[in-house]
Amino acid sequence: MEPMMILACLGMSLAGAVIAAAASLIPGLHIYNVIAITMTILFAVEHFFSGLDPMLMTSFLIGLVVGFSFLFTITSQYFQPCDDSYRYVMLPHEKFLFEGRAHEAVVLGSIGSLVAIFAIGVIFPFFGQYAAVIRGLVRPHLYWIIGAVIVFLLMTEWPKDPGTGPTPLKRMLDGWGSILMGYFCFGMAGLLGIFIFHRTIIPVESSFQSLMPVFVGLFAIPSQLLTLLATVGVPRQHVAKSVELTGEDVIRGGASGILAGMVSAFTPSLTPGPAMLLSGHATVTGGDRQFIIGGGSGRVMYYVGTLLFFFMPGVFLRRGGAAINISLFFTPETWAQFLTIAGLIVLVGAIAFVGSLGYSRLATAIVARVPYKWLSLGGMAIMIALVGWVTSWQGLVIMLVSTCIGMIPNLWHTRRINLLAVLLVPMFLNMWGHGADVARWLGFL
Amino acid sequence: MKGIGHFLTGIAVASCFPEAMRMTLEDNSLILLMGGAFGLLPDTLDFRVGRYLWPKQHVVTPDLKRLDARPVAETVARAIDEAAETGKPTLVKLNTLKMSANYHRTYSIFVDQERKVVRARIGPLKTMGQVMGGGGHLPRSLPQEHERGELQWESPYKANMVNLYHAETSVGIFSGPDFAFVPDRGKVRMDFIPWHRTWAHSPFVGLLCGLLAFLVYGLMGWSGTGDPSAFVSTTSLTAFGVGTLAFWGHTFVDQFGVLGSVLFWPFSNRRSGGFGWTHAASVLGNITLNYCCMAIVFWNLIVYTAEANIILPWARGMDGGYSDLKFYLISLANYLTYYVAVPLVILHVGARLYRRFFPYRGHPRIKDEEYGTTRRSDSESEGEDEAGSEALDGGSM
Repeated sequence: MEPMMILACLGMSLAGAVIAAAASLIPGLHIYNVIAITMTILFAVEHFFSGLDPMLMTSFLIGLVVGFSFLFTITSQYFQPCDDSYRYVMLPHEKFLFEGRAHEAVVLGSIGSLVAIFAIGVIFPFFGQYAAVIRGLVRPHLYWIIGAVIVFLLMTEWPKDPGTGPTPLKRMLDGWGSILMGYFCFGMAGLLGIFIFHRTIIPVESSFQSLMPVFVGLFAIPSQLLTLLATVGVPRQHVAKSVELTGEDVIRGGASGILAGMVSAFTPSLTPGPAMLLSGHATVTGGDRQFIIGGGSGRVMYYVGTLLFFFMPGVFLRRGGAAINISLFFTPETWAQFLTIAGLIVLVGAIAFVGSLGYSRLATAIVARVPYKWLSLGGMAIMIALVGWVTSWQGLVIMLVSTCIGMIPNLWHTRRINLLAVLLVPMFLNMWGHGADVARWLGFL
Repeated sequence: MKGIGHFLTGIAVASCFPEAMRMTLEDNSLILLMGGAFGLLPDTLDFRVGRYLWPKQHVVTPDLKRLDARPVAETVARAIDEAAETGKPTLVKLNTLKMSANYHRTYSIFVDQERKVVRARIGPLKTMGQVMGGGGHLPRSLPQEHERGELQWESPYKANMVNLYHAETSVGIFSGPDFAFVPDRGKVRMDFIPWHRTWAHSPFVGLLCGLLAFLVYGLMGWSGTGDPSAFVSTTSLTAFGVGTLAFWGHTFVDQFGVLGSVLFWPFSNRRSGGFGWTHAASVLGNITLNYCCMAIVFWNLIVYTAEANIILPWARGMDGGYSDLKFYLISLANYLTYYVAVPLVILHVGARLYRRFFPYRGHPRIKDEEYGTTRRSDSESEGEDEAGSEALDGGSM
């Protein structure tokens, strides 16, 4: 590949990262929504780009994904404080915010992301043959692997009673109340998923974004609603000049995230959330720091690592919105392309790491000046407008239903991970070969 | 071990049945998944059912508004002597002190069998992540203590104790620990979370699970063919084997810890001691188990997934496939060497070297000079006891 071409690709990647930084200011906005909107705009002005090398557009989207995977959780961490009364467990980054250490949490997450970028840059080029073998090996077994994830999620739904009830029956009811609500949440999300997969009401022209209203409704809007209802204050944040961290934290947190990202890369419908749950158990991550590092690492490995598999000769794994959109105009063929993309990822990742530190300071300044409720209100308005614009009123209806389901974990103290049944259940049923039967039985077909 | 270890053990056991792999590949059967479920089932039964059925005699709930270690120590000491005097087991439940969604007031007890005292200490505020709370940002909603009692108290007891733990038990988050003080050959034995690893971990219940699986698959075979003789088939017998052995795999793996299991229920309720080689929160122990289970599953995928057509380097150029014994054994030796032994050796040697050059950074071991005991850090001791360590996502079991 020509040096000038490589430089042009780098420029486009950085442009993508800048767009990602701007989009990341909206808490709750998902990378695949941004890509879809970007693609809609690009296809509308297709004639302008028709003469360009597809590698340039590909590089732009790569930059978008890398930048977003580093930055998109930062604003959520600052702008969506957790109100104790709506939660049973407070996540580590939420605790850090209340201790004035949100910047430290961002740095830890970014270190995790950097570990993943390092692994992608160093390991992946040598991993190609193994990835192809593993892919071929697990392909006939994916149905039961996804089923195993579902069973594990359900069996580890744990009682959240303090064990202080006066009688065994009362204690059991206390404990099983939250378990059953978790199952109810899982069931409702699963039903919604089967409906979306088999009989969605989203207009055909918007079908490429049929999951957008679902995910906005299940995750983004409930978080923003709870932020609006929150009565807690965000303390002044301290921007530390150093971070307290051991090598063990980096190794164990990073390894957990990398494992989660790899597992989710090879397993359809398995997003970083449940994959992190599995890998966290498997590698016995401990403590807030390892949790946050693992989150950063897993996120990048899932979004970026999975995307790199698409370019890997012999693998060409097309998973996730980014790979699907890139495949519309670019067909990867050579190792040179793969190595160029890998190099771009490492470069943009390193720049995004540095950028995330400044981005965190920006978020610190914003949250100190603008009430977080206004930020959430603005973010929610933008999300609803986007859903309405992309998927019409039908999308808004689905978003409303999804929001109702998405509120269950917050109001009944169950795990939000159950909401991912929206993907896991229909995908499992379809791969098992009974998806259509179940949908027909439910009256969706 | 962590729940995922037991789950993977069940899947690994199931994958060793050739018929189970055939069913998976040809019939889209969920039998491997069933193996995982039965592998995890003993802990599910204990932590979702068994713990609620356990009776409570002495319940300790310190007053948040008047923190006092004295009633804690006195109650436990009284329970020990009561067991010795009556000759019957006594049960103690230590309740946790939840203060908000994120904060718990911790306290701890230590049964010092040499000095015959129970020592209770009121501990710090801790978050759900077991991090010490404090600083300037504690929630305003935290209950305020009006007066303060004894923050540390020692209560003497008379009985001769058998305390295998030699560890201070921290009462932290979620549901607090249970203890049973059991008269045993003239002494009083201290059983931790006595409802755990009892009937639900016994091989007898494993047999019942196998029978259940046999019944389900037998009925499926019968209804599928309309032929009653299909009730007893290779499929249903395989299901029996998977159900039983996956369950037993759980009990077997648990024996590597300290606690052990009740192996002879319903004939005996006595929990056998474990080998004490590892504990539930052990990083290397869990990773090694999980890796070995995954290695077994992958090996069976390689052997039985014909369409993948994977031939390992040592077997290249040889005639035959995995059905040929020589081919199988050479491939297995290759696999064990490259993909099992080498990674595990790297892991364990690497961890040992890391510990040598960075000893216990981040995980302090506290030498208690006063009592000559080594107190493990909270996460470690609670990990071993397993009840108090249900982590953010379900935790160890």
